[in-house]
Amino acid sequence: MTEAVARAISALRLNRAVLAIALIVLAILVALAITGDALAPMDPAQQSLRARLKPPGFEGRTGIHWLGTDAVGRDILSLIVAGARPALLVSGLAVALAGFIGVLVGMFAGFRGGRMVDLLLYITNIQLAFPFFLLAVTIVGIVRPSVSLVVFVIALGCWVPFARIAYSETMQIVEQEYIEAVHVMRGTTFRILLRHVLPNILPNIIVLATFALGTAIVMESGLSFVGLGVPTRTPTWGKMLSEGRDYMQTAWWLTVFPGFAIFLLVLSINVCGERLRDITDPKLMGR
Amino acid sequence: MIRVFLRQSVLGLLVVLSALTVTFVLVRFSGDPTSIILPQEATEEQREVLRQQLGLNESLPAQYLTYLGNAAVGNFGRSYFDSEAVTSIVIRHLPNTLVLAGASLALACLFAIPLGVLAAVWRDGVIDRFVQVVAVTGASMPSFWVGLLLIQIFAVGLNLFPTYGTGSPAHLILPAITLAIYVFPSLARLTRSSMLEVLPQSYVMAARAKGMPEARVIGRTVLRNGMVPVLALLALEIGNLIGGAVLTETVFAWEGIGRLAITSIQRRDFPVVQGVVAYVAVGFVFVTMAAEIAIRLVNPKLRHK
Repeated sequence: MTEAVARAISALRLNRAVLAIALIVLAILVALAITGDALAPMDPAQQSLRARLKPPGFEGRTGIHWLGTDAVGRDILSLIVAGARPALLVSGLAVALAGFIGVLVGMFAGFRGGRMVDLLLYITNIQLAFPFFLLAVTIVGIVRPSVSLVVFVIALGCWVPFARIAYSETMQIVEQEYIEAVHVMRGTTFRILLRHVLPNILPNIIVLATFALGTAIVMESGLSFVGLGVPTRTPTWGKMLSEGRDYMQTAWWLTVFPGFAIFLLVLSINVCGERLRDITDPKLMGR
Repeated sequence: MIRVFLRQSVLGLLVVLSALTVTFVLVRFSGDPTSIILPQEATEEQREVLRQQLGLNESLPAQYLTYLGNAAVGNFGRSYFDSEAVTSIVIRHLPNTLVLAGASLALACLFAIPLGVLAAVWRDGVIDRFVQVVAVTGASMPSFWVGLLLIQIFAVGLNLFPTYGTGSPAHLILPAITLAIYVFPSLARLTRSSMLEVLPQSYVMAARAKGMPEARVIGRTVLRNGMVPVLALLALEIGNLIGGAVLTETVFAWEGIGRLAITSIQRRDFPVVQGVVAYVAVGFVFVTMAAEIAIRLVNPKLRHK
């Protein structure tokens, strides 16, 4: 018995430490995304013919390249720092758009019930019945990439869970007596949804948004990897990986570090998401 | 059972129709195909002849109907580049994708299902912790990066496997592992949570009470009930797998339809893109339908729902 308790406590401590690290990583990457390449040790766009494909720790004219240099002599660390902004900006905007549309549509469907729900479920079923990433590369590839298109497509890939959660929870909430009371007092639909339904479903939506952000970042890097990401001055993390692919025999650092940056960011977000889920729904603790 | 089948058929038809419509609209509004097919110095007359041939001078609804009619009989026209029929290009690439998807799905099931079951049986034990950690970490790694790392370690570093290409079984191992890692987290987690739901049921207790050996209780009573949501997920997971195959095939230069899609998009070979999307949609509809039927075979309770 005491052993079980001790193990639970140590597990909790471990989880706390992991959570703390995740939060710190996340804070750093968000700070980098806000400041852009101002915090980069060197100019990420600076090319150097003499410092091409140099390994980590190489001392160049502009200083030590801690993570090495790429095929045109740019500093990998600085490129990764500069890549934080597009990664977080694109996926953040996409999740915001997906959440907004999904929650709006889901709440209305849940409120009206009947045919609206059938229609919503049918549309989401059609979308889920197709490998989304193939659809994404097809749309972006044919129309040609731009920031708004990539944001739109990633949002398209993320909106379904938002709509489904919003609809099923709204349906349960509008059955409650206090909603009936608002009806009696002639509250408008808009008022009911905004003041009484939304605050109740918000915790779950926030948890969902956290996980969606992780998915969106992976999706964005995947699009960049096949050359369909947002156009930027310096390569995004996904683009760095696809450029590094040609030099795998000689320069491992080109494919290891940018991928690690994606991994670290998404992992931190997912760890925070797990914790948030435990807080909002203690029933699911440890599930 | 028949109603389920009918409902799935209608849904499937809509999926395929949507896929066809989306690609048609995108391609029609993406510019003049003659500028892709013909060299830049081609005269206006040559372009006009080609437009006539491709039926681009007809009204949009007429073009759409012709397109749908042709698609219904598997005619997606010819590639802009080597004028090979789209259908034969897709069919040539399809086996490679099926082999890759099958191998990785089998590999993922081989590890995810037993581990998920054991994690649930010994809840909070070592295996459980391990599965949780691996699931969260695995879900945070982009699949193409996993592929690159595997190449870096096992192909470049240890020289055990070829770096990329299609052909021998040795070429299959690394991409299959990559895709298996991609589907492992959701599969293991769902197996675990679905088993956790079945374990406290009274019929499990009844099975134990009548003296059934524990291994048999888990193997028969719990597994059979707990596997239903897993099977349902597996169908969705195959769609995920094809999506993931787009990137994995690109990383490993594996000549499947995912890579075909990317190379065709990059050189703007639109008939091939349309063909790939349409065939994937059709294939996926059949997979979903097969899964719906399989679920009902496993669990008779659902047959009348």
